[in-house]
Amino acid sequence: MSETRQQILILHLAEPDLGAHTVAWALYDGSRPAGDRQMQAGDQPEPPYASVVDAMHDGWRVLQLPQLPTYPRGAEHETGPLPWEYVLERCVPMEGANGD
Amino acid sequence: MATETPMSHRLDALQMARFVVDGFVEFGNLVPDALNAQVHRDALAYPKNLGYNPNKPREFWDFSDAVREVFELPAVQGVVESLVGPDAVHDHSFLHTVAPGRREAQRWHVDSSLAVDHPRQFDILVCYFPHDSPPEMGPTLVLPGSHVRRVSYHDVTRYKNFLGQRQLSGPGGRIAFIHESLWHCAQPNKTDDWRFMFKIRYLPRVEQRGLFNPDGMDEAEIEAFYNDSNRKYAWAGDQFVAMGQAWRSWWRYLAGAA
Repeated sequence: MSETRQQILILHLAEPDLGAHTVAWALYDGSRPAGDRQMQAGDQPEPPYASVVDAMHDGWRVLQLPQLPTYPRGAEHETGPLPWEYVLERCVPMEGANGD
Repeated sequence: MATETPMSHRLDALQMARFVVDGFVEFGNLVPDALNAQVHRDALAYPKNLGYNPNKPREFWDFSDAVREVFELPAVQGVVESLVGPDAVHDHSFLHTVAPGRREAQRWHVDSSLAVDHPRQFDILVCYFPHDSPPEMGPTLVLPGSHVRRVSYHDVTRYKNFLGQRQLSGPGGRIAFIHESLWHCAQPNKTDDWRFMFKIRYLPRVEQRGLFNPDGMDEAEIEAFYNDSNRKYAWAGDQFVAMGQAWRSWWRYLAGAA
């Protein structure tokens, strides 16, 4: 068996529905050799998946669903970080590893 | 900036509304070409890889007569005064560089914590690109519209890519006047030339309202502009309503109606 490593994919959606479209994305890839460049700010103009459901069809497992909001009085229209953040993972063979 | 520039050099109402929605305004025609070329020569002659030294907060400013001349232009001062008022404080400035062949992008960040009255109370970052800066040279990447979100400094470094992210690329001489809370980062430089960007941070001394030029303001046109901007930022998803509320509330304050 080849060694596997974790990949973390973070998808931000337009709405809480897991089928809503992706508006922001980041990949942290543990299968890449240490020192290799990871995904960088601004390096990918199109999302890798149209939605979380789309990523699930490709084998990604959902680790975290965002909590739905509550609205403290007086702060109903405040916005901060992107709210609909889904964390996904999959384990893949190490890049460059000799599987057997 | 001891004296105020005439209103004719200030932002007009629609330009000011654009700043409210986008978090920046940019111009490519404020600086004569010869002056841009001189600043570029000064940047090339300036020692490379000088880190920012807080004890010398205006090193390139003091080094380059030409860059001071750029910021004394009435057209440039007029935009600054539209946003932070007359006699704003030049807090610090720095010649930002990306070396030829540098492949690392900077992480997304903002240059501020949150002002008490964010986004109405803000410093501006004035980013001046003296030479042509095509995308492959690594001009600053910004997320238009992000300035109304309540985040601080490095809260956004986990993010990597957004729908609507945009590089401030283009011909030499462009100046972007940016709200302090706009998310941004430097980009890799795939060329063989240095990429320069001179940035000044200005702090207001006055309440930031009633500073733009209201001549010819058409309230229906402004309202239509905000309506048309509602769905402008795909990255904001279903929060476009909250962002629209923030724009309009800020606009009423800017225009003296609230």
